[in-house]
Amino acid sequence: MQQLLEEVDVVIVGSGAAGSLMAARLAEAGQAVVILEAGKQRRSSDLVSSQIWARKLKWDGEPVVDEGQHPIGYHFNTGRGTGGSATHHYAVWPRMHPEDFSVASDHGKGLDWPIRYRDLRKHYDLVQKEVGVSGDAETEHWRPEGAAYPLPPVPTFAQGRIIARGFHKLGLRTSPVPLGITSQPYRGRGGCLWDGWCDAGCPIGALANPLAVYLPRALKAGAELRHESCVTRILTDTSGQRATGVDYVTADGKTRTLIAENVILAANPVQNPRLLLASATKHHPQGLANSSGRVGDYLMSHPSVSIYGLFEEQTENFLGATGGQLLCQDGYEKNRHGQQAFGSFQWLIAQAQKPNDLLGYANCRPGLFGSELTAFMQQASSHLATMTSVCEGLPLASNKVRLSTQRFDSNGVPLAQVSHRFADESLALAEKSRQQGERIFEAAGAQEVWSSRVNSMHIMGGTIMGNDSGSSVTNSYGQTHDLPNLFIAGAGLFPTSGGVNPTFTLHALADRAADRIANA
Amino acid sequence: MGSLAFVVGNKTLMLTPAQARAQNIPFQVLSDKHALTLHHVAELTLPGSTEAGVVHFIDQQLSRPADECLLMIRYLGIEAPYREFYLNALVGFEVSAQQMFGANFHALERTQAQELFNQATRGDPSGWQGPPAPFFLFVLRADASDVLYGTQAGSEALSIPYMAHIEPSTNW
Repeated sequence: MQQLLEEVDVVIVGSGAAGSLMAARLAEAGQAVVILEAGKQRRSSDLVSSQIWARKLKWDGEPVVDEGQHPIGYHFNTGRGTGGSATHHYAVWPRMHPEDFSVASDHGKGLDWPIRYRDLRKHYDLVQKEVGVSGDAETEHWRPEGAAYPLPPVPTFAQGRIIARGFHKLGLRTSPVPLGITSQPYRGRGGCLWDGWCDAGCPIGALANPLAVYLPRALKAGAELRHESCVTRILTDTSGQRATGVDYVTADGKTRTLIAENVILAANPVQNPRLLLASATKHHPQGLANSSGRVGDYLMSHPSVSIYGLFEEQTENFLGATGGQLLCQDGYEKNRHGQQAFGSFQWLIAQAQKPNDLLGYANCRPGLFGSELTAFMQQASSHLATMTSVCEGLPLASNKVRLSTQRFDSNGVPLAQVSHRFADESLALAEKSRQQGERIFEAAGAQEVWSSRVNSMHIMGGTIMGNDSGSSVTNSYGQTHDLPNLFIAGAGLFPTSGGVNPTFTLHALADRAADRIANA
Repeated sequence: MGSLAFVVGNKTLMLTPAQARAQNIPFQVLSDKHALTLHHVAELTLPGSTEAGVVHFIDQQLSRPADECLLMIRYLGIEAPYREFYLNALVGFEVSAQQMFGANFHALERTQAQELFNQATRGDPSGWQGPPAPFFLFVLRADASDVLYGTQAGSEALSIPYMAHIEPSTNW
């Protein structure tokens, strides 16, 4: 008997930040949308306040071989299940700056975006209104043009005030950090209680993860979200000119096929190229959308350094948001950091802290054991302050996602193999930030100051957008150059990283792309 | 801390790690010898963590399917299953104790155990086998911090409010 194939207008692979926004937009435009999420279902009521429990939100799928001089920290920086990585994101939502879009033209380094800030501005404005971004546009001196924030900023607690005096003594400016967190009740969502549980997922809906904003809208408009539905292959027609849908494996181990007018890959920047490469056909022997040979290239991360200090005062570091209380972007000018360093950086200041887990303060002094560790924990719980630099990581073609030739997942799909290192100029920039950060803490009056090694924060690139189909994977809408009805969404599209957190920008890009698809 | 499911015979008991320790619940993965070594290494790593039940916590987590394991090692670049990582490191402590002092780790004089431990924080001790010793102690330190400080009782001990939205009373 012939199998009846299920047909929809749009299939979206992944229920994270970009996928959920696009699902909402397209379903509200009247399209039949199905989201296929590889991970398990998570409800807001599942988001238990525990750093141990929060590990359930991190990646729990097939392993990724994470290699290179500076691994991207895949298993910590990504997530799986409803809302994807965004369910545990910290909701620091600054905009990229106009100069981030033309780094190659302006400085002869990195790549240019195929769009400029002005192309995204209205999308930033719309998304921030829907999401309820909290901030203070007046004091955010570096902020690109745009509508004022719809909500007042995060309050500044003791930790923020203590660190800010160090900035001010050195002539540096601070402002409240813009957060995708409601500082007061907004559109049916509660206001944040500033208790620092962002990493464990916010069960009260104050933090704009997909469970709080766009997934409910998508479902209300008729989109269907299928969990434990792992896409194994993108299908194409016999001519190889169009995508026709996907194959996916459900929890019962059965392979199903979903036919769609448009296919949107909205998994993370490692899994999207993996799927493209694993879907090679005779028409696309290098993998789908890969006539340029650039699928998987230019994987990026932000090099990041955390500064720590012990102060005589009580820092009340348990208060606030995990992303921080204050922002400084005085280091954003790209070519003012000496000959060796290049790029933009920002400070995220006074993060709410927990004692345990990878970013907990037990781990900020990894050399302490025994009674010394016990004494430090007692002191740190009341007197520790911290801030973190987010530095631009230049795109390198040698940073790649490739398919393993030796290892496969349970569905027979080759595992992703990732290799990453930071450009020398990016590492030098991170070191500049370390030097400045330690001076700031000394000026603030810290009794003891130290800093972390350079870490990888965020994952971007791997399916970059561009005007030239010979050197990029998609156009500025995430539409692949090779297959006009195959789209990519998310931070994988970024040709450069800027020196800011990526989530607001990937929302703006997804909004712009959804407009295009809905009005095609 | 939330309760964990400890299997005893054909019964499943919901206990905190500290309760499991106090009730001497049998281990699922660790041998008694492994557990004894882990107990002594953990107490040198973070005093109080053994009373809080870190040995039972690790044993219970290692007994679960890899994708349900909540030990921090899951995002430190080590592929599941994780039991070999722990067991090999514990064997490493035993081999080094024998080579350095001719005795089992748990039977060492306090100064001897501390000397071996201190070496392990800096590099592989004499005769060491298993994963890099400093990395194992980084992982164990995280587990000990989870059990001792990552709980409502731990917050109280640090004189900070826990402020849970949803209290961790569920079965991990």
